[in-house]
Amino acid sequence: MGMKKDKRKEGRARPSKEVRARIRHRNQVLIKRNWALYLFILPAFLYFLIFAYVPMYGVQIAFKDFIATKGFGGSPWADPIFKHFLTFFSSVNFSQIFMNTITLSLYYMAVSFVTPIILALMINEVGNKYFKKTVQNITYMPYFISTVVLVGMIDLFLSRNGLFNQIGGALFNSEPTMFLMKDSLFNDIYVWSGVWQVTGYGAVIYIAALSGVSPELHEAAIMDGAGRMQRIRHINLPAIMPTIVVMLIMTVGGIMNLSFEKVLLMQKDGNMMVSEVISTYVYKLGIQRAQYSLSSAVGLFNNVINLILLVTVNKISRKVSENSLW
Amino acid sequence: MKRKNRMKQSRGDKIFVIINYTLLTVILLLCLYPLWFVIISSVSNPDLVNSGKVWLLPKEISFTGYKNLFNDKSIIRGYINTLIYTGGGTLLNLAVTLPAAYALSRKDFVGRKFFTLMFLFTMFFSGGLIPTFMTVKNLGLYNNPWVMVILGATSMTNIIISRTFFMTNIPNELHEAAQIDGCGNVRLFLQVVLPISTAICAVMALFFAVNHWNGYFTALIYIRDDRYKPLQIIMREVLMRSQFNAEMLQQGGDSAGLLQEELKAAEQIKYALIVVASLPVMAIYPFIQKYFVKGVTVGAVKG
Amino acid sequence: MKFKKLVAMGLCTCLAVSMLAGCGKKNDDQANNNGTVAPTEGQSNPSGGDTGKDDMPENVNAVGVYPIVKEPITLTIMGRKDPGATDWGELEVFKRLTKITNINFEFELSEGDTFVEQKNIALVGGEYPDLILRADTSSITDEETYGPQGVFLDLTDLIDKYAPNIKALLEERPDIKAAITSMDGKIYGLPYAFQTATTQAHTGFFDSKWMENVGITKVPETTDELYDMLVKFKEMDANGNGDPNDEIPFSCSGLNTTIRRLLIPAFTGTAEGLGFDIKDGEVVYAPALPEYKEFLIYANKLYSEGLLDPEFSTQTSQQWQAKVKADMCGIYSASPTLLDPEVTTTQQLSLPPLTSSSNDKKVAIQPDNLYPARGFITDKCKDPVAAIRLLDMFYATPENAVEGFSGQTLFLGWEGEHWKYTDDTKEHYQWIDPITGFGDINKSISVNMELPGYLNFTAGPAGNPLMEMKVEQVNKMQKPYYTTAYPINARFTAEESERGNVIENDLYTYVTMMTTKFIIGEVSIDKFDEYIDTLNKTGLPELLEIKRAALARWNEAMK
Repeated sequence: MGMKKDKRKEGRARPSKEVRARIRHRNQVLIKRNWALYLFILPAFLYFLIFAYVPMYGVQIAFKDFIATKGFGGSPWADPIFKHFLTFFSSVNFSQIFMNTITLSLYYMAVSFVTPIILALMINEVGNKYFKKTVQNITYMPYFISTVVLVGMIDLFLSRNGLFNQIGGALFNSEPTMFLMKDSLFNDIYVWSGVWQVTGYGAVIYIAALSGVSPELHEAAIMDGAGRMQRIRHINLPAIMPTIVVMLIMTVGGIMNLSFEKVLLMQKDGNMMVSEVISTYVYKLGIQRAQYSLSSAVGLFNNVINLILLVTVNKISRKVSENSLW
Repeated sequence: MKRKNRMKQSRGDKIFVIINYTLLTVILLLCLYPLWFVIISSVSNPDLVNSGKVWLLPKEISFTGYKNLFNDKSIIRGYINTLIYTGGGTLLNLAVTLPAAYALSRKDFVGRKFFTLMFLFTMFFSGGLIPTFMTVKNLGLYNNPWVMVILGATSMTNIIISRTFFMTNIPNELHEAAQIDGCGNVRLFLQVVLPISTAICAVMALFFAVNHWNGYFTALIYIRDDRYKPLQIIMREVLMRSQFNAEMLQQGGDSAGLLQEELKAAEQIKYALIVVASLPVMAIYPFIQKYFVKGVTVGAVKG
Repeated sequence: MKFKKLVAMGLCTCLAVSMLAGCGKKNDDQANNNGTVAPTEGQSNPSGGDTGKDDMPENVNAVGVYPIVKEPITLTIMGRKDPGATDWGELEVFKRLTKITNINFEFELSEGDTFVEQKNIALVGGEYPDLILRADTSSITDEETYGPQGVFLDLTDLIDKYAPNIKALLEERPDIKAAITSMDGKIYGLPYAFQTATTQAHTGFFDSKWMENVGITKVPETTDELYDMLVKFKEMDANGNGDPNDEIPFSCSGLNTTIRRLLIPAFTGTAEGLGFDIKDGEVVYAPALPEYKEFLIYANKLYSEGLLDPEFSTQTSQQWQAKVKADMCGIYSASPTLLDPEVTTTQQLSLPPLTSSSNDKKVAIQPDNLYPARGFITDKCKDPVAAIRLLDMFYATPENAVEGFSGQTLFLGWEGEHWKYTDDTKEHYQWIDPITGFGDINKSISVNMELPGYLNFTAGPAGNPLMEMKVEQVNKMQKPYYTTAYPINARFTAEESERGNVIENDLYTYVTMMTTKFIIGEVSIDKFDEYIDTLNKTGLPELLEIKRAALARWNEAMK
């Protein structure tokens, strides 16, 4: 495996025999010297081997008609082999559901990816120790409100005589708006309530990364007469850039993993046109009715898209920023 | 950094500071209000909450929700279980994740790419619930409290985050210097790398702990015995109870004869439970923040 | 060594013999006892005793003889309990059943969705218990899946030989037999069949005070009359609190209650408003009928004039209930028992099924009083005969009760101990202190609904005016108009249900969404034809075909 890595490193031309021999020798030395690192990685390796690779044979049920008593191996192959994928694709609403998923997911990712970074940068600029701590702690708390209660609060706050309409009525004398009835607002409500919930928690990692920036850098910059915005742009941002890039790659690689729980809770009879996404559709069809083959086919489909995106973004990132997952 | 704030500030900086404080105050209030709402709802008459009459102050205060909570033995047992799972699980997580992340952060670690790809692959392809269930069952972990600690012993996302931290914050020269000193990798990791990486350790501890605290899926699938159920499972049951009662009443289930007071209690307990169940995880954050600052002082050493 | 072994063996034999002897004695006693406790048991089933002797497992007593097993056994039971309900092991019913039958229980309980998930995994992963009780609605699919695979035992023979009560019920009610018989002609799951005074469905209730306050004397019987009443509710101070503007004339949460059960049938003449029904002998899909358009126009009028709760499609049950309790709603879709009994003193009335310009037939849907697939015995069960004898007790009529236990006991406890009839007419019953209602029954006595069993209990509760109002209204306003809808328990082949599920799910999603949009005016009613086109494209004709085939099979089975 080390060979492969080095092939890329050594450049376009195929390395000559001697070069390859030299690499092999170097690797042998390195392996001998760093034997402890293999011990370090062993537990994680075993964990993934046992709990991820051993059960991997289950992937085949996406292509089979699963019969419980016959097990995974014994169940007959689906006819045609892509039957369960076709069931999914042939739903009249498929394109709608697929687009809903992409739109909602992209919107959510775009916003909820940026807000924690901004919040972390802002908090980092606060001088007052107590205020800083208060902001950190309070913004972190919404993460612990369970989804059911969060959606319950959305329903209450946005109802006809809810908080938003009361404020609107008091300040602007406006007529009550039926927020929850409007298709066009569904995505906004989903995304911004999500942002409210996760921004503070998401900022933690960046706050930690920012704490690693050495004060000398800032002092030197101040000496040079750099303002705060300049220092953020030229010191803080580059300092957390590797973290940002890695988080971005991971986020993009999870684009199809829109969790069904919150969407399902937010669905109303009137907003199905925008609120039906792949995960809720599969939940209703597959899991509630125990159609494992169908749900694993859809899961596989989602993850293939995820993987393609991850590989692409990783490639781009390696070219542009020198940061990459591998 | 903070001390230097007392130096002369340019006008632009002053405006920046003012805007920053104002915006953060607004964000603070935006986050605070819904939390406040949960608290006042937990002690108000749920009918008034649901008809939108409770906004700023609790109305018709009663502590039935909390009383019912603390009278419920399963909730207290769940609380204790969750504390154990979170504590034990987080320790195991750190022990598995940090060394692996460190190994992967080393450019001179032959096989780095293989391991990274192998781990990454599991994020996208999994055998699914049933084969995992079979594996767990065959290992004797089914309905065994150890499953709560062992399943999810590490996560690729967190390995990657820690790896990135090690790669950016620990200069290569450190490894080289250590190796010239004849310092082995084990000693290097434990005595040099970890002490200057308290920030990432703290973050990882927090992430894993929160995951354990909020997680219910593992328990849902693998824990049958009431004695081992964590708090979140019980919380889910309580939330379902309130939903179930409301639907029963609408759809003509009065033969189930749910008493009105029970319905009210279930509504109230919903908010009370959130307050009680989230306090511990909310409380660990300030404790963990301390280590962020330490990272700064050590950063100076390397600089 | 050899000697030791021999001694050991001898000891064992002695033990076994003396144990058997002991059992024999005990049995005689029990049999005698039983003769006095349940004299009808033996008579009603003369054949049961005979067959029982032939191949009755050694440890199990003959049918009609208790305890069921000679030596105590333990059955593991996976069950769905209601959220927040008491652990079954702590319930009086199961404790006493253990005493009567010598069978101990070990429960694995979970709630709601959790149950579905755990049951599915248990079945697929092979970690299932002896019995599955009170299974969820998806269990008909399970029945068709795991029955033929052998995970669930075929109960046909067991019922025939060891379950006289179930056997009698199936002979008497071919509809139940048809409903619980799988596609392969075998019976794998036991049903819950019930008839009570209080579980009847309810539709449009309202307070008589509201009607008086606006000067209306006759309960509306047509959609036009209803419209007139709603207009008055809106314009006047119907709830009499001095504010003429806080009334919501017609309120509900979602399409699934009053709209589906009352408004749509008024126009389509199908008792089922949002699904399949039989009209003039043909299978139809109500939301695709031409009359459905008339309903949409009407509902849209109600909405645009502010007669229908503007939040009908967005509010949660909890929000809606809070409004009803605050006396803000005219027609509310719930049972009056939702109201606060202390302040509700006036008569609660309900609307009869309505007629309209497009339909002159009053129809009301007959409540579905049969839940198939509520109890299974799995192939892990070592004592299927004992298990079926136990479950048979759940189907006993009060006359066949064993130590006072019958299907009725599950519903409301032991007569004379937890409740009693108020007089000899047996028209009303009342609770016996400390029991004050079904809440208490569920807390300490029993799981009062949905365990497999048979319940026929038509007495109404005494001293519960709100419940009495409801029962009276339902009997007067709806019962006369009950129609037989599409048989909800008709069976589908694996292929039919695989294909049908997808189409039905797509249809339902689209119909509920479009109906809401038509009502709130977001989509113009001119688009009705396009809507019908989409239904056809979604596969409605195919699904109608599937439903027709299933209906034909059902009718065949009923013969």
